[in-house]
Parts: sequence; C-alpha cells; structure tokens
Amino acid sequence: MEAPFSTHTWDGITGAIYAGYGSSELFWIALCYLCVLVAVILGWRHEKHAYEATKTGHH
Amino acid sequence: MEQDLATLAATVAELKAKAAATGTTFSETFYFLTIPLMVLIHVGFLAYEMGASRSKNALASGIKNILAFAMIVPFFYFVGWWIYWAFPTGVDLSAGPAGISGLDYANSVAAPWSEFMGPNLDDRSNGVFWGAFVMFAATTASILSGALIERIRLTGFVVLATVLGGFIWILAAAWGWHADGWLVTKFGYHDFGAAGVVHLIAGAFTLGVVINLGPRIGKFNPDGSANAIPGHSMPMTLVGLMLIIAGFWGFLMGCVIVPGETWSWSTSSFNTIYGTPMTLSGMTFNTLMGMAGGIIGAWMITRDPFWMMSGALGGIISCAAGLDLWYPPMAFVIGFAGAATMPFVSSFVERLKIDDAVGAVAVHMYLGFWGVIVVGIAAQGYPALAGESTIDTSFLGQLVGALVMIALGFIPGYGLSFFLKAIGQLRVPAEAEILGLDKTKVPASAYPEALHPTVTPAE
Repeated sequence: MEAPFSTHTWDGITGAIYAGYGSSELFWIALCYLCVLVAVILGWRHEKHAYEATKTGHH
Repeated sequence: MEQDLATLAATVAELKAKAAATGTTFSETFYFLTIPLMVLIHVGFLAYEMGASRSKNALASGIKNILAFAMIVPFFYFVGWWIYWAFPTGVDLSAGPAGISGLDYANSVAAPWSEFMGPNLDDRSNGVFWGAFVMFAATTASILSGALIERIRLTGFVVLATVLGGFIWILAAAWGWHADGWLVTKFGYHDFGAAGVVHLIAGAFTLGVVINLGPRIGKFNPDGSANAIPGHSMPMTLVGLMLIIAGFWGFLMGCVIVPGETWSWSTSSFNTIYGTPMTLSGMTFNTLMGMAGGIIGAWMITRDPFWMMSGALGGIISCAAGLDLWYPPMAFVIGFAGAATMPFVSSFVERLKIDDAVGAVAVHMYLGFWGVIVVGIAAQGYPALAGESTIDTSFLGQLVGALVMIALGFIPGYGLSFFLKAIGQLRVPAEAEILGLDKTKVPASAYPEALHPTVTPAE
C-alpha cells in the first residue's frame, strides 16, 4: 500500500490522502467484514461448547 | 475619503489583532484540555495495576504508580523538555534544518531558568505544550510500572521510571518525533501517535528491567511451568483499561499541532508534529476503527476479559504511527491483526521464564514495533516533512526507527536495573514479598476487613 500521490511534497495536495485511495478500498472493506465474521463464528462456537459443557458437568 | 481609508485600516488592524488573540487562546486551551484527559490515563493505570495485583499488594502498586508520575514532573521541567529541543539532530546539539532545535534554541525556550519556563504574559504556549509532553512522559513510565508489580522496590522503581520518563523517551522523541529529528530528516521515519517513541521504547525498557528483576515468587514451578497469579479485582482492571482508552484521546490530541501560535505549522489547519497536514476527522475515523479491531481480534483469540480490553489499547497502538494516513477499514484490520497475535507473544515471553505481570512487553513492545513497521508496509511514499521535495516514508525508514527505539529502550533498561540489582535496590526481600507489600512497606491495608483473601498456588 502506498500514498495515492508521488509528488515528494505535501504542497498542493488536497482531497483524500488515505493509503490506497482509489485502488484498494473494496479489498479492505471485504477484509474488515471477514475479520468480524470469523470472530463472530468462532465466538458462537466457543459459547456453544461452554453451554454444552454445563449440561455434561464438564465446566 | 482619507478618513474612510484610515478608519478602514484601523478596523482591519483591530480584526487582525482579535483573530490572532482567538488563535492563540484556542491553541492554549486545546493543549490545556489534553492534560486533564491524559490524567485520565493515570486514573486508568492506577485502577488497572491495583486490580491486577493481589490484595496484599494493591496499595503498594497504587503508590508506585502515583509516585512515578510525581517524580517525572520536576525532572521533565529541569531536563526533559530541554533534551527534546537540544538533541533532535543526534548527540552533537546542532541545529536542524527547520531551525527549531540545537543548544541555543533549547537554552532559550527550555532551560529551567528561561523566561518562558514560567508565567509569561507574552507566551501562551510553552507551559501547556510542556504539560502535554509531561503527560506523555508519565504515560511512558506507567507502561513500565505494570510489569514490575508485587516485587519491585519503590525507590528502585522511581529511579527507573524517572530515567525512562525524564530522559530516555524524550531523547527518542527528539530523534523521531520532531521535525528536525534525524530519524525523520534522514530516514523519513513517521510516527504520528508515538507507537515507537512511547510504546516500543517503553516496552523495550521494560523487557530489560524484568529480565533482571526476576519473576514473582510462585510464578514458575521447578519444572518450568507457569502459574497464573490472578489480580484481586478484574472489574477494577477492566474499568482501568477503559479509562486509559478515554484518556488516550487526550494523548492523540497532544500529537497534533494546532494553528494559532507563531510556531504553528499552518495558520488554518491541523498538522502532525512533523508539519505534515492532517485532520482530527481522519484521526477519529482511524482511532475508533483500530480500537474496535483490537478488541474484536483479542476477544477472538483469548476470550479473556483482561486481554480483550488490552486489545482495545493494542489496536490503537497498532495503528498509532499512521493514524493520520490509514484508510479506516485498513486501520481496523491492522488493529485486529495486532491484537489477535499479541496473546501469543505474551505466552512466548512467559515460556522464556520472564514474568511480565500485565503483558507490557506483548502490548507495548510488540505492538509498538508492529505499529511502526506497518507504516513502512502499508503507508509508504508519503512525504515525511513539510516543504518541497522531502524524504518519503519507507519500510527501511520505519525499520531503522524501530531498531533505534528498541536499542534506546532496552540497553538503559537492562543496564540500570542490572546496577540497581547489584547494589540490592531493585527487588524487595522475599519475606516482604510473601507477607505482602501493603503490610510491610506502605504500611496500610487495602481491605482491612479481609474481604479479598488471596488463595493462589503462589501463596
């Protein structure tokens, strides 16, 4: 990922300046969603095992 | 006609004077407000460390924390502020290209006898800017504080914290958090939110100290396995961590140069400490996203409330160096990745038989390193300074900066603690550690009605 400009100066730079502007937004949005999805799925699984363990007495 | 022109000129002059006054009072107020917010960080550290200690050591941990803060203030007044302005170019006290560094400049603005180092009606900024930096210094020392709980001697700790907060971190800041800093001018080092100059250096210093300090009695068994030593109040620790997050916003405010002063980089917009443009708006996007990513990443891996809340801080530290530059979902992923890997680093440190009581090395050294390096991976090619044709940010620049921070932190931390250990001033006697530091040293009891007896195997 890089700066969206290559002027070696901030003089005259306006507008969006974030890394990857205009090239990789969709990638990062998708990765963000994926992180949350994976975290929630793993969290659901952990919770399920925890509650099942109470039924079998293993807690 | 002439009378009209004269009136007009007088009106314009009056308006300019009012605008200038508004500008200086705004900036003076802005930096002033960073200070109570940053004091919240210390409220947080106080709660966090007391909660992470066993009840027999709670007050000793609290006193240690408050005293470090107090000791750093005068030393930063006497020496620390001067170091920041004197040493940006290296060690030869020369002036840098921006003309705001070197021996003469430091003597004029920061020598303790300078006319600007006290109430001065013509100077509305030195004290509040100094105050913000004092709080940075105290925050740096607090990072050291947590790892050493329950067995460090108070006076030995005060020496270590004062050296770290009053001398070491501020030298790192002169080198890497100053427009004349040699890491910036020669390598394009970029560290907007002090991931390197505060977190990495404090974590490295801490590592040097805990190696010499040794583990708490009962932490490790003869076969090398480790025992958990739970603190007496996880709720207090969690609230403390959240207060640190709240106060961190003041820290980030202090990383910004606002318009209004004669020394401000711009007359109309915010800038980083390096003079490069930024917005509070962009910083806010990235701080919240990084924090959220950190909490979720840490929760996903550990399920532990302590590590989850540490992930909030860890997420911000991971993003800190580039908070002015990230695309917000990128900040989320950077915080997520950092915080998700942080617990493994903590386990690794423990396998090395190092007892870092609160994970300071994992949170601050590891994530400080990650935070510095990731700018070189994902935010290359940005001009590192204001002006025409400047050096750009790069992976090499960030790597050099990170290695300098590690060395500048670890070597003094290890060396000074080695010396303190050699003269018997680093660690409390075993008898005191077993009985409890509150009873033996403070002396006072946090819970005189014995509501929180500790029953860990370490007892």
